[in-house]
Order: sequence, then C-alpha cells, then structure tokens
Amino acid sequence: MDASEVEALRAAGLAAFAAATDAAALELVRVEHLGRRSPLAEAQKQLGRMSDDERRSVGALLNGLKGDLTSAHEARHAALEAVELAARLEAERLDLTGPARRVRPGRPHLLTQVEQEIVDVFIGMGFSVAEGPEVESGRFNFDLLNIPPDHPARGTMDTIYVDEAADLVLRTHTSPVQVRTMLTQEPPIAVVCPGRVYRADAVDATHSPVFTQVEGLLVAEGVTMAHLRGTLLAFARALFGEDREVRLRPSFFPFTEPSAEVDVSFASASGWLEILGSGMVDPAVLSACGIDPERYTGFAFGIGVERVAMLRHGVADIRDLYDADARFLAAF
Amino acid sequence: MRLPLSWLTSMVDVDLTLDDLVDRLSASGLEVEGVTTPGAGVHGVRTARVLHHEPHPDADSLRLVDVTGPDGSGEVRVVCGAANFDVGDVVLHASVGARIPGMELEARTIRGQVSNGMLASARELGLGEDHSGLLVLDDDAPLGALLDELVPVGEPVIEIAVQPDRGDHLSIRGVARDLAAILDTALLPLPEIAAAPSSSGARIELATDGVGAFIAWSLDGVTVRRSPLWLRTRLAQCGVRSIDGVVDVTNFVMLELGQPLHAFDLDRVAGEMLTVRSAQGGERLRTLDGVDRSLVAGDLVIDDAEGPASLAGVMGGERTEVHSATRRVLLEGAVWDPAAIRRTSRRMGLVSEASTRFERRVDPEGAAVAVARAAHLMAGTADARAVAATVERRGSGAWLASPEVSASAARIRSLLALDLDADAQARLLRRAGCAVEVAPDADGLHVTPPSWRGDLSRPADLAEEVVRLHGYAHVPAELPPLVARGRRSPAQQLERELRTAVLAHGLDEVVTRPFVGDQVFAGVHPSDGRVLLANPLAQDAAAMRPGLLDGLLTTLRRNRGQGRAGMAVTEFGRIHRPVGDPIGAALDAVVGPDWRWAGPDGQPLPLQPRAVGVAAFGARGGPGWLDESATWVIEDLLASFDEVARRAGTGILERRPIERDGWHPGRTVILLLAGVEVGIVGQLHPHACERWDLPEESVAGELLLEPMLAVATSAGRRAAAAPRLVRHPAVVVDVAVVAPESLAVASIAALLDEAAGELLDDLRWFDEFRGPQLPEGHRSVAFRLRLQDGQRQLTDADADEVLQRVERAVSAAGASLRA
Repeated sequence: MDASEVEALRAAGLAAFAAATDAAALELVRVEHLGRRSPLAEAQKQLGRMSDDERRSVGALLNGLKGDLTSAHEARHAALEAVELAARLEAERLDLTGPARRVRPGRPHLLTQVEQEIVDVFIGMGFSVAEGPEVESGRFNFDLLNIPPDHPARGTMDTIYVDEAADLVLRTHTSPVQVRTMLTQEPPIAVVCPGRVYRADAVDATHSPVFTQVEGLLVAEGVTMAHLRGTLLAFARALFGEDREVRLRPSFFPFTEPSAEVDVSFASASGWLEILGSGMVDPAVLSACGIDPERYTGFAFGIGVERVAMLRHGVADIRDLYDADARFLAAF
Repeated sequence: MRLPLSWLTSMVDVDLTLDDLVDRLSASGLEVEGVTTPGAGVHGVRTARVLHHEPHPDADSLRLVDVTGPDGSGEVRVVCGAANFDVGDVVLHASVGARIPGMELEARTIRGQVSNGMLASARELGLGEDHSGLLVLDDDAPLGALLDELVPVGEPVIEIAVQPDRGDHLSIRGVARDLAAILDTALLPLPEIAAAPSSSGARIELATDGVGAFIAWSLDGVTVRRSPLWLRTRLAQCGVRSIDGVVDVTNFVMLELGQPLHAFDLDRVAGEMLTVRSAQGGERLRTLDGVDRSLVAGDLVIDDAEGPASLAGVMGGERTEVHSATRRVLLEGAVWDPAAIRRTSRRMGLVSEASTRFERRVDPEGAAVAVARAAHLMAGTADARAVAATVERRGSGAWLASPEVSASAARIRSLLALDLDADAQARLLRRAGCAVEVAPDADGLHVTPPSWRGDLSRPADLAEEVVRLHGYAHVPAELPPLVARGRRSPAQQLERELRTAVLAHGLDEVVTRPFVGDQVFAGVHPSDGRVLLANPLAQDAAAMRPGLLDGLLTTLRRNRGQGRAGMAVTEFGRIHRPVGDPIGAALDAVVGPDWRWAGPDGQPLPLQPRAVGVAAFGARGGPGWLDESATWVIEDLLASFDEVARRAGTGILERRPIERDGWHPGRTVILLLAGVEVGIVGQLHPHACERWDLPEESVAGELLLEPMLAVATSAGRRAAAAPRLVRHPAVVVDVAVVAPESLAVASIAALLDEAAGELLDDLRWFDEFRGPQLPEGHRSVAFRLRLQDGQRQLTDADADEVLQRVERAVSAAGASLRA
C-alpha cells in the first residue's frame, strides 16, 4: 500500500466519521474503517510479509492513519454523546411551577398550637407546668378557692356534677391544679395549669360545655399587682403583637382580691377586647392552702385558649374547634 | 341594673359626656353592658283628651275617635283599634307629621275613614311592653303638651353588670354614691320623704335571726289607680312592668334606693300581728305569681293569724295582695339574711328583683328611709295617708355588721405597687364613705366601712378599694423577678414529642367533646364501667368517655358525610373509668400507682389515665398527592404506635391477635407491654363500619399513654445511646420460610433473630406468598437478613453458617426454608 492509497483511506474514513449522525451509524463506520476487517487492518496484516525498510515506512503511514481515524472516531463519538445528552435533558424537562405533589403531613389542632404557644411564653418567664384531674373534688375546685357551698357557681345550672353527694365535679376551671400545687409545694411557686374544663352550658356559637384554659399562679415574697400587669402585658404582646397594650379593670372573683378583668388593645369598636380574668390571690385562698398570707403574696390569672384562638384567627363559631371538619383542620 | 341618665344625674354632680361617663364606670368596676335609648325617635306626640268616640261603620274592632288638637282645643278624627279608654281620658296623639320609633305619621284612610295620625300604646312609644291598649294618662295632664317635654323619653339608659359583692350598685342612689366617690364629686341630697307617724301600728314579732330589721307603716285612705306618666316612664326605662300606683311605687323606690318593699292589703291580713320566722317545712304558700309553693325548713316567711302570708325577701303571697279595691296598705321594708334568701330563691328556681338584691345584701340602715320615701310617693299616686309605723330590729347576724378593719398602709402600698402613703389611702377610703383613722405610726389604718359596703371586711378588700378609686390604670407594669427555671416536666415534654410522632404519620389532631351516651365503641381494656354525670346536658352525653374511639369515629362519620374520600385523625386526652375498673389494676401492674389521682383526704378519684386514639378510613392520597392511590391501612396506625413506643423508649410493643366486639376478628391485635394490654389496633368489624357509616376496611387504635410517660421520671429521661456505626460492608441473605399459617410472622422473626446471632444487623419482612406449590395450610414468608461484623469483612462462609443455623431453627419450629 502506498502513500496515495493511505491518503485515500484517510479521506474516506474522516468523511465517513464526520457523516455519522448517531451512535449506531458511528459504530458501523468504526467497524468499516477501524474494525478487524477494515482496509486498515487488512493492510496491517500485510506488513509481516514486507522487507524491513518497507515495513518501517508503510507501518508508519498506517499507524498515522490509525491514529487519525481513532481520533476522528473519538471526537465524533463525544460530539454525538453531547448532542444525545442535550436531547435527553431537553426531553426530561419538568414544569416545577405547579403544585408540589405531597406526602400529607398531619397537623396539631389549633387549640394545641395556641395552648403550647401560651405555655411556652410563660415557661420563658420562669413558670413550670402543672396538671391535674378533670373529675375533681369539690373541695379543691371550690371550697379552698373561697367559693362556699351555697355559692351560685356551685349550682347544677353552672357546674356538671359526677356525684353531688360525694362532691365530685367536672372541674370548672384549672384552679384546683393551683390548689394542689400550693398544698404540696413551698413558695416560691410559679406554675401554669393548662387543661380541659367544663361548664353546664349548652352548645352554641359562643358556648361549649368543654373548653380549654391556661391558668397561672405566682406566689412568693413581695409579689405585687405591677408584677401581674407586667406578666400579662408580656403575654399579650407575645400572642397578639409587640404593639399591644393591656388595660386592667376592677372585677370580682371569689379567689382574688383585688381582682381585674384584662383587656388587650384591638382594632375593635372600643379599641379593647376582654381576654382574661386575674387578680392578687385572696389571702383566704393562701391560708386555706397552707401558705402564710402575712409573708407571701401572689397573683393568678385564667386564660381561655378558645377565646385567644378565636380572636387571633377569626374563628367565628366555637363549634368549629370541636367538630373537626377536615377543611378546618387543614387551615392551621 | 339600668340607669336612666337624668335619674342618675339628679343624685350626683356629674360633668362628663356620656362616653366619658361610660368609660369611668367601666374603669371602676361598674361594667357598662350597653347604652339604650328607649323611646328615641318620638317627635311631635302630644297629649289629647278623648272628646267622642263611635264604632267604625265598616270594622267591628275599630273606633272612630275625636280628640283635642295640638293646642288643646279643636277636634281631630283618628281611627283607633284600642278600646281601653273612654270620653274624657287623656291619651297620646301622634298627629300627621309626628314621629314614633320607626314611623312618620301621615293621614291615612282606613276602611273608608280618614285617620289623622294615631293614638299610641306604651310599646309604640318605647315606654314599656304594654300593647294591649292606649297609654292613658292622668286626668289632670296638660293638653297639647309634647310627650318628650313631659318625661325624659328617648334619653340614654346605661345598663351595668353588677358584681356579686356589690349589691349597693343595684340602685340609682347606690351607683350615684359610688360615682361621687369615683369622681370625687358631690352626692346630691336624698329625695323627699314622708315624716314617720308617731303612733305605732301593726305588732311585729321577729322570731328568727334571718331578719335584721322590719319596718311596717300603715297607710289609710288608699285609692288604687293607674300610675302617673312620670312613674310609668321610670319603670319602663328600667324594664319593670307598671301595675298600679301602689305596687309601682314599691318598685320605683327599690330601683331608686335599693331597698325592696312589699305592700300588703292590710284588710286582708288576718289578725293583729305579723310574725317573722323560719319555716318548719311542709307548709304551703301561694305566691303573687299564682304558684303554690311548699316551704322547707330555713325558708323565711311572714305569718299572719292564718299562717304564711309572704315569702320573705323573695315574693309576696297572693292572699294578702294589693288589688283594685284595696283601701288600707301595710308597707313593709325589711332586711333579710343574704344566705337564707339565696337558698330559698335557688331551691325554688324563683329569682325576683327583691331576691336579687337581698342575696347580695341590702344596706341594713336603708329600710326606714325607703319606707318613708314610698309613703311620700304613695300620697301622690294612691292618696295614701301614713297613720302608724312599727320598727323592729334584731341585730345579731354577722351579715348585718360592718366592723372596723385594721390594715397596714405599707402592705397595701407594696401589694399595689402604688406610691400612696397612709394619708392618701385614707383619703380614698373616706371618699368611699369609710370612717378612717390613721395610727400615729403613720402606717396603721383603722377603717369602719359604711353600712352599705358589706364587701369591705379585710385588708385585701381595702387594698382593692384603694386601687379602684385611685385607678387601675395607675398600676405600673413590671416583670416579676424569675423565681425558678421555667420548664415542662420530662413527662410533659415527652407527651409533646409523642404527639409530634403520631402527627408525623399523617394523622390530623382533633379535639372532641369527651362525653358519651349509652352505646360506646370499646377500645383498650373494654369494660362497662362509666363515670356517669349527675346532671348531663344531653342524653347522648350522659357519661365521661371511657375511651377515645367514639369521638374519633364520630369525627370520621361527619367528614365522610360531607363527601370526603378518606381521613385519618388522632386525639390525645384523658379517658374516664370508675375507681374499681380493671384498667386500673392493669396500669398499676405496668407503671405503679402514681398515675392515679386522689381527693383532699386521699380518697381515690375516678380513673382518668391519658391515652391516644387513632382512626382512619379510605383514601390517603388523591389527585395532587405523591401516591394518588394510597389508602389508610392498619399498618399506618401500627407504625404510628411503634414510633410512640420507640420515642418513649419502652421498646416495640408485643402484638397479639384478639377477637373483640366491634373489631374484625382476624385483623385486630392488642399491644402488650410486660405482658399487659396497653393498646389495641385493628380494622373495624363490618357491622361497626355500617353503624358508623364508614366504608369497610376502616381502621382504628387506642393506646394508653401512662406507661409511655412513666418512662420519663421526675429525674428526667434516659438519654438514648448512640449506635456503633460499622464500616465493613454488609452481607445480605434473603430467606423464604415455608411455615404453617398458625406460626405468626412475629414468631418467625423471633426465630430468625435468635438463630442469626450477633452478626445480624437488621431483619426485615418483605414478602408473603400462598399457592398450590406449598403444603396445605402453609404460606411462605420472606425475610432479608443484613449481616455485619464490626471487626472484619464477612465472607460467603459466614453467610452459609448463618443460613444453616436458620435452617435448623426453622425446622425445629415445624417450618422449612424454601429453595
């Protein structure tokens, strides 16, 4: 094989590689020009029969040819791969602007969320969390809280009884947890008492026979009404926004003296909404619970979790909180 | 309590706008519930005399009436539907162009007769509820006078909520007095009263400590007639119905001064003496409202010679009631024990204006003035002439006294965090009517409250009065110094985490009302034990829930009823069982007795352990979800409880198949901890699905949380140990065990675990197969064993050795390995 024939093979090979348009065609071209039956391979088989000089010169020519064709193949192969990859990536294009297909998460109930948020605020202020039974002794629920046996709140119009003779009630507030705490702990005492409470109210848009409270109690030396106000101001700002103010109004509760209704500033007709009741723990309650009212003072408050949830989230009907409509559950 | 503005300001010097007055009242413990303006919108309504009337020619129920015109003379024709008037009566005429609430009058033809305006009833003028006829005025009323110039119709009436310890706010005078204290302004003099007659009248015996004072005036020459317009207007503004010139005065004075009064027809009182006593029980009394009432021991009654004549402090008796022919009246003003009145009122379910006041305590010194005031007014409204008066007192009840209270000004000052010294506090208390002496040490306050303030009996009460009159707004806001590290207990923290663990399985948390009726879906540890309610709100809420599943299944049913294809819910809460319920012993066996609650004397309260319930039906996925066709299955619920146990650190709960009412007999397991049932998970029985309107393959579960939470002791939770992460590659061996159906997957897994020994890193069930190739009653269960050693790389020989051990163990259990 002479130089002109090698050149012809080179020209034909390079043209063939350049013309291959996909991997399969390229492979055919490779077999034809670089395979074991290709003119190049056939020519290389002839080398053994040549003289040393001839073999050296033709061999060099053929090696040159093989190198060029191999390079051409590799280049074409890379080029075709790049094109194919680009085509595949294009074909794999996804529209990710649509809704993400989800694995459904479960959600905590709104009352749980609000209760935990309230409790967290008070934990941040140094309060611990205390709990107690829902079926409670009337002595803990009433007597020790300065609510005597003939008090209207103890009537069956207001209180759900389990057993009147045995003085067993569904607790009407979580105050009996405060009582249990005072009976078993020495001051300083700082607790919040979250939980379900019960009243003999028929179900309507604003009443529920069962609802949720977070009550709080601080008993220590030197606790003042300013501490009550400061604590509730911090609570109101944490739950409703840092721009809020609180207003205290005189009120009456058997277990506090002085007592105060607490309003939070709101974009409402009067500019205020009542959110909770509070006061300085009545000395009679401290005494009844074994705490020396000459030495210690304290404050207590009771927050309705439903009320906070309804005000903050615009829940119009308290029944929505208990009827568990899936659309409602999914909203929070 | 309703406060007509002009009535209130007749007694106290107030220089505030209505809005400011309302704000000051609310800021001082007299919470304003609303301001109304009864009769607002009345314009141009004038008095007119009826000159002539005749039947309407074309309507039986109508009259043609001629009345005097706007200047008091002339004649105007009106068509009228009322019949309670006659020629000469003075009525109210809304002439053409006049206005009454909601209407402007024009000339109108009624059945062919022109009516020039209308004659008005009390209700049409906003002067009460009476719509049975025209409002007929006194005969001597001026003619042609504008109604709104005669009486303050349309003025603001402020309604306040009265606190239970402030009975003194249940009168115009009482609110005026407090307002004077609040505003530090003048209380105006008492209105006019009659002089007490010098001769003594009815004999009164006070035979009980339930009465503090009893004042009885005898009035002669009484003519019972309708009340004058001014009196009817005041009663209407306060929401009290007008009766006649005697009864209306007793009500008016009650509203004005806070002292309820009662008028007996003296000629109907039997005998010469009234006896005030405590009822024995078994006696009967017919009260003014026509109800026969039986008395029990402790009810206070006023007897005449024939027995009970009046239910003291609550309601008078019908037998001695004032009526149209009454000529002589015994006017009673008495002071009753608040507790006794409260008991009687509550027991009888009878709440009157009088009982409302007495049970909040009336001013023990106020009765005499009130009777004198009423006698003065009845002279005008009923021609009554006071001829005799009897005053009896019995002063032993503690509720009568307002003893001196001693307090430390420094303590009050520090409690309130207000910069008020003893003198400043004394000044405030004096405004409230207290006599105050400041001790020479400039700290001790010796305070004698006024007779009308029964609520000021302790230093704390004085502190409240000081801050109330000084203004709650002045209390500064200050955070208390931290007294402790705030925290949840370890168990409370764990409960929060367990809730998160369940929610992570895709269940939504719900909160349901924890009451059940007769039919209950039994979950964990079923029993018939119920904590029944003595006064349930509804028949289907007669007991506290013994388990959580009724609430959850009700939730599912309600949502399915609204067309939802599937839903999964969970609830965390307490369940309730009687003290002796077997669930108690079961829990004690696992966690000891600390989960129980006791009453004040250590007596056990009903069992109320914490639990978590789960329930689900139907589609889990759907359009837009990652797995559109997924449905809720038992495994979802089992997995959520496994995770709860794992997080709590109790280890995986043992599962044991169970047949239980309401549950699918072949698809239900109980969960056990230390051999004790603590939970249940399964598919509902088809009958239960039907009953709850749920599709078949609905699933549910319930787990007691006390055993999980007990893991977190007061000392804290044990920290989980970090695993040793082996880096040598693992060898995976799959085995298929052909086993009789009776051999549970859990048992096979336990065999494999034991046989594989220490090299076993992970064991996973991955397939199950039944078919004719297998012996009858057998199935093939496939497991993947992952083998690993911390020290070296495992070889095929290691795997073979494990496989041989597994094969021997399986054979010993009556199963075999499938080739």
